[in-house]
Amino acid sequence: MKKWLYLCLVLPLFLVNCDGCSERTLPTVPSFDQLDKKAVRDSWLGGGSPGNVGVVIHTPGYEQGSNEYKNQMEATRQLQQAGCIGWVRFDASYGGNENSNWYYKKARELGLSIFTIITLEDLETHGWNDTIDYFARNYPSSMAFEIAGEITNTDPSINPTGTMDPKTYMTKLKAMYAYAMQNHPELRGRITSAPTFGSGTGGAKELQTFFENGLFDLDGIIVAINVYTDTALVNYANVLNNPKFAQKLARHEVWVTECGQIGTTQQIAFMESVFSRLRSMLHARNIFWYSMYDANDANAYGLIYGISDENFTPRPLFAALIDSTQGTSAAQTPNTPLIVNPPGIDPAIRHPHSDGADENGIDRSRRKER
Amino acid sequence: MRKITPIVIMVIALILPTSKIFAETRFNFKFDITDALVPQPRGSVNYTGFEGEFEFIWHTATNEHIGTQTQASQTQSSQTQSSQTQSSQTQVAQTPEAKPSHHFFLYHLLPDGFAAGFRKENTLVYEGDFLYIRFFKRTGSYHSLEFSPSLALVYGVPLSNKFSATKFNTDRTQYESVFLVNNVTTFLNNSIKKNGVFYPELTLGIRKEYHRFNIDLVPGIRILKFGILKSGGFYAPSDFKIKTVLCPTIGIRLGLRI
Repeated sequence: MKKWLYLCLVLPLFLVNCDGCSERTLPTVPSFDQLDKKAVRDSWLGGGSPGNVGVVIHTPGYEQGSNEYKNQMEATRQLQQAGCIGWVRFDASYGGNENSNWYYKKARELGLSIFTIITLEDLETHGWNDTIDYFARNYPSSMAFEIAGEITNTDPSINPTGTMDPKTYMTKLKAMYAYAMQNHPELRGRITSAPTFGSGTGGAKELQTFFENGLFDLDGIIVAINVYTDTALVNYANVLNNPKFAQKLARHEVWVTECGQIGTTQQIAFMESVFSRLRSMLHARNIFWYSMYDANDANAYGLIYGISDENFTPRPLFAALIDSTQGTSAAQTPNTPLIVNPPGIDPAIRHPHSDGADENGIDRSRRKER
Repeated sequence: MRKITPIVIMVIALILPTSKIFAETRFNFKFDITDALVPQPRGSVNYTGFEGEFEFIWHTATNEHIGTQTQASQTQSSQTQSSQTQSSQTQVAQTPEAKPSHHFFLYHLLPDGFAAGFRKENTLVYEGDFLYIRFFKRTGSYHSLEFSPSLALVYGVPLSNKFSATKFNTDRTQYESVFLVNNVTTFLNNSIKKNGVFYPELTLGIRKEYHRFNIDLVPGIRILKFGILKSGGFYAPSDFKIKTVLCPTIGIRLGLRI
């Protein structure tokens, strides 16, 4: 009989460890009217300047005269004028793209700093040294270059030529970096490593491998990571705060090159919960929100949607950021119907999360854990 | 390993309390109220945790010595106790003079018992999970309060954002970061090296017993190591040092003699 008593006492201790509690519960956010927009803005900037925050804009997206182009760049202008961003991250391809050029031009007109992601496909197809030569010569407006996207992401739309293991990547990166420093010394301090996978423990393991295989030997390289979940964030912190790496890391900047959340109301809660910890735990200097627009689906990462219409529709996070300085939003209020277009991912956009969970029966609010 | 460990712990937890090798076994439940007493920054959460433990007291001579004093005073004060009670006391208790004198110093060095338990801070999986073993010494009593200092060895995965803070300069080119130094790779989520901590904790249990129940006030100190990293910014030298910090803690423990 006594044993049953012990069981009753002991079992609850183990049951506390339920899997359902694996992610931090996002705090509830009041309705938009009651929302403290200044607090949202403060969390976004984290006491820093707009020069430390950016938004990912997918390019090549649309033609210059299209509503999609105009709406994306208008939303960018509004965020920039509200003092909420100083950076945009664009995709780019070897050989260039006419549509892409308009995005670069507009960003330059606005005075935004441009961060360009070079795909693993281009690096592998054209050779790493030739690719960096090409981008250094043809993208002078780009302030920084990310050497590949998530190299271990199996999504063919991100890595059509296949993934790469972190050790091989480091070997190639070190050779390319030495070449770049010799032939394009102006790129010193403007190159980031490939961002590590943004969910689960896979990204932290990759980062550990990067560190152990000589990332810190590359003087001035920026450490790039993607963060979509708490699990990823916590494990990154374990790697970054490992005394073995900490001092070497302090000579390098950490950039979170993708961070975001799907949904409408969840975005503000996620941003307020995660941005502060990216700075306090990972000492991230720059953070890029993923993304300005990715789909018309209500459960999408974009700050805005409905971009094929005459005017785009902001999600609450975007509206709060704009409202925080202007009093009233220059765009539509978020109280208008949230879905104006049929759900569906625009085929013109390369969606980095199409490995997504819907097809695997997993909640899309969490990225596939590894 | 990760799957088997909880089962092993549960089996031990079931077998040990039923065995006759211990003079006394208790189940204790402790609430850590440290954070609740400390003003938290706006918007942050109190990470008040709890512990569940089994406490075992050995049949050591030291325990019998303490028992003798208590029982002797009880005998003096109540002459009307039954002869059956007196005989049982005599069985358990021996006079200090009866013990070999060369053992006396050793008796006071040995702990009177130990407790093994599980600590949980917050409800996250693989964060704020600790296992610990605590050795304690019963040093005496005062006004029916019993004092027992203890040394605990704590092992687990701390809450990641509880002890991390980074302060940037205005343009974010430099920062000073303070964080809890992880010094072990735990079996919980061990894909990342050095994902956990192992540290000592000194506490003083002040216990009041009511029949088979006990309530303890448990102030203590956790001996934690913090990393202090001063970044010099791009290309500039940085400074990193590890500092040992004594972190105060206080909790309330409720227990039941089994």
